Amino acid sequence: MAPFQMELPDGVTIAPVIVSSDKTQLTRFAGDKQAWPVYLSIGNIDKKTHRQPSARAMVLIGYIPISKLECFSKKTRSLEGYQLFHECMCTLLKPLIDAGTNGVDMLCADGFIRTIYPILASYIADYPEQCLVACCKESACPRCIVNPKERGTRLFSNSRDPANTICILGEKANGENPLEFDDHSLRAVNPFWADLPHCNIFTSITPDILHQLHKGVFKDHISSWATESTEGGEDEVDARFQSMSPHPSLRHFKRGISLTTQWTRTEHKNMEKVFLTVLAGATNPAVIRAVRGVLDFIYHAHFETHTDESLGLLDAAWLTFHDNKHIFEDLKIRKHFNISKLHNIKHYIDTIRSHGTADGFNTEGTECLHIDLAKMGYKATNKKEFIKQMTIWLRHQESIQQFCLYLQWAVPGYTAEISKNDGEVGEDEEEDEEEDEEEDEVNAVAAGDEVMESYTVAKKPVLRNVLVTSIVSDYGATDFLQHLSSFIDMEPLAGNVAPSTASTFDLYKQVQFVLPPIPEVTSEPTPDVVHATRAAPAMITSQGIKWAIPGQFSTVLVQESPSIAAGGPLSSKPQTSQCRSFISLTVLSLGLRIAQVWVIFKLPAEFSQYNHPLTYVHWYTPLGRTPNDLDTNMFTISRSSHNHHQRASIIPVAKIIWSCHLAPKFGCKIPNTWTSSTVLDDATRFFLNPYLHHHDFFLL
Amino acid sequence: MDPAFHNVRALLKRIDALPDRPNWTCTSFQVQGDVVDANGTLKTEDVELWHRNPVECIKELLGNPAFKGKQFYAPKRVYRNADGTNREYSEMWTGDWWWFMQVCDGQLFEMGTNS
Repeated sequence: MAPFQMELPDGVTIAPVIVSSDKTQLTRFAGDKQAWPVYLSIGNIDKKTHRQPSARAMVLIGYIPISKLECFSKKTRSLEGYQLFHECMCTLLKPLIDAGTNGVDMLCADGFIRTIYPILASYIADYPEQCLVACCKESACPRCIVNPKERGTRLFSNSRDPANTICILGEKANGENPLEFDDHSLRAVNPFWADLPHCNIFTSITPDILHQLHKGVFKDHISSWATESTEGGEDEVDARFQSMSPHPSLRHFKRGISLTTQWTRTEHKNMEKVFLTVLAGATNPAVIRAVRGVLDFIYHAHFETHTDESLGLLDAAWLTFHDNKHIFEDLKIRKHFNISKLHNIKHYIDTIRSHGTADGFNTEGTECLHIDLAKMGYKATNKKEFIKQMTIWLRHQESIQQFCLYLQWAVPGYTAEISKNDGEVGEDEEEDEEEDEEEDEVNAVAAGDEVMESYTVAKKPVLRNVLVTSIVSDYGATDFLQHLSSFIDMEPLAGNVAPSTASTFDLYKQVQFVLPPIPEVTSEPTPDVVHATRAAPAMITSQGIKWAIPGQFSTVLVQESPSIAAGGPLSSKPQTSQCRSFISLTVLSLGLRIAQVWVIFKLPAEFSQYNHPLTYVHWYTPLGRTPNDLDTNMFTISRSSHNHHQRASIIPVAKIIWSCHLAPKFGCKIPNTWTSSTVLDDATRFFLNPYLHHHDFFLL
Repeated sequence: MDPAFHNVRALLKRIDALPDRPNWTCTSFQVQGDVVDANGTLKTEDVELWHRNPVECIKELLGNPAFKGKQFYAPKRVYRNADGTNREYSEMWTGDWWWFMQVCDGQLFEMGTNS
């Protein structure tokens, strides 16, 4: 059903102003060179454009001075710092007062002139700066007047009211001592937002997923509490992380987690992906439920499109945490939950309803800008009175970029050679590691007929003429021939020759899939790779030692049409690739099954005319309708066998939905023989990990 | 090698000739502290705020042809179903803030140019 929309009559046009500030280090090592840039953007531009640092939808509008304020005694220094910040912001945003009251005629990108009323709608900052902006103490909440001692509860508390706050601050400035001043945990400054029209600064303060959820709630609190609650403590958790089954999009913690001291956001996210499966079995069920509540909340908070329904789930996840958090008190790990980060979570739903989803207010965006605008600018200076030089540098950069855009528009076929610095530092690191250099990916083509295929393989199979005996012994595809014959029998275009032990096949090392865009998850297609490569032993060559590469045999989600599922996987017959295009996500879970891919190959023409790549898979037991492990809320499965014989079959690549992650069920103590590369063979029971991608989370 | 510019200055001069962007200005503040210096007067410190006009910047963001088709000028309420019980929230213009600002505060604004 197409969503229907209600629209307002035209009249005035509002430009919701998004301001973001973040103090940052300009140099990587040497100490005190700092800058405090302030960025501005408007809510009229869509989030996708906002997210591309190269689109320059965020403009640098100022550098707040940084001073150690040595002319003040230590006692007053921090309060004066607050006041200085507000005075600077006041000067900076002054033009918005008149424009927001009377409107300014502006030419818009679509060619119309509108009277624009720019109004401060959102202020993106990390927690200390949020408090700075809201003029409150850092033990308080910048949005509401919750008692600092009650931050761990779900109690309702009144929002802060701007007019009231200005009034209290005004009385305080006049030497009076209003009661509310302490009740509201305020700090005596003259706020910059006092004169901004139609501005409620407190509701403008938006959640900060990176610092609050990933770093704050998950890493600093929940993960350490949960680790403490396990029987084996850190050692056990480390061992479990070390022997976690691999997946291309998963970072493997080779040394466990307790030794890691410098955490990046990618590491947080990777830890979240497997944390629940690591804990499962090792600790109290209530701890598992509490952790699941937090993880579900974090994953839901990342949704790019929310509905009333999914917001309900978001709330339910948070409730799960609160229902189970008592366990940390029972186990004497925590005495209280009066932590501002836990409290702030309460405001997520309100913000999403009023300002749109949280991905639009991520501080990760400004951190990219720092690199682009501030740090690169600093490098170009002679490090003395650098702010002034940085502004000049920036003006030059912007002029050039603007002119390039103009040229691209004015001169057809002109492409500017500007180095685009997208500032995605650290994000791609581990993907590079996993990349298979030998693969001829440039030439990969979509092997499609009339329907646009959703998978790509290398143009030519990488491994040529591999004997059946090698497939059986090196790839573990024990009953390869038997399953191949049954596949060919079902195939209408069967050739006249039957495959034998002497036949050879061309093998692929990997297939690439594209995860379909789901509005909740992402609007852009995401790549996904399924591997089937055998292990390579270590070799000593003239170029140095080549380390042994463990074999990679991906586990995948396979679509079985429901009617066929009843007859068992062996009877599944090939279908045209079209079935993939019509996956309806709601019924998807009914016909889904997990398999491990051992061989990806092309059927030689003499056996059959079937021209899509095929895979030899081992099946796992069917998924139930709902997750069967209640504490973790995950599906558990094991290898599917028939008369002590592994169930296997040959299926077309097109039936694979995407790769998935099976995490071994470690039980209460991890067997010490398990290692990451063999755990998929050693373990007997597995969790289907829903936290791998946001796609998996949405689906499972 | 025949470089297109004689020296850096010539290049920068050409860049400066490109259409202007919102200009940077510097406002300095004198902060008076509460610590007394050797002369018996209160210490002061000068700080510089580099800034540019946010309204000009907004003008440029709105007018940037690169954002054509990526801009929205009015709030919307989007529903997943026809009876309007499952509302969708994603971009800022789907949220309540903009909606209420336009509806409740709409009277506060003078009716402007209607494109």
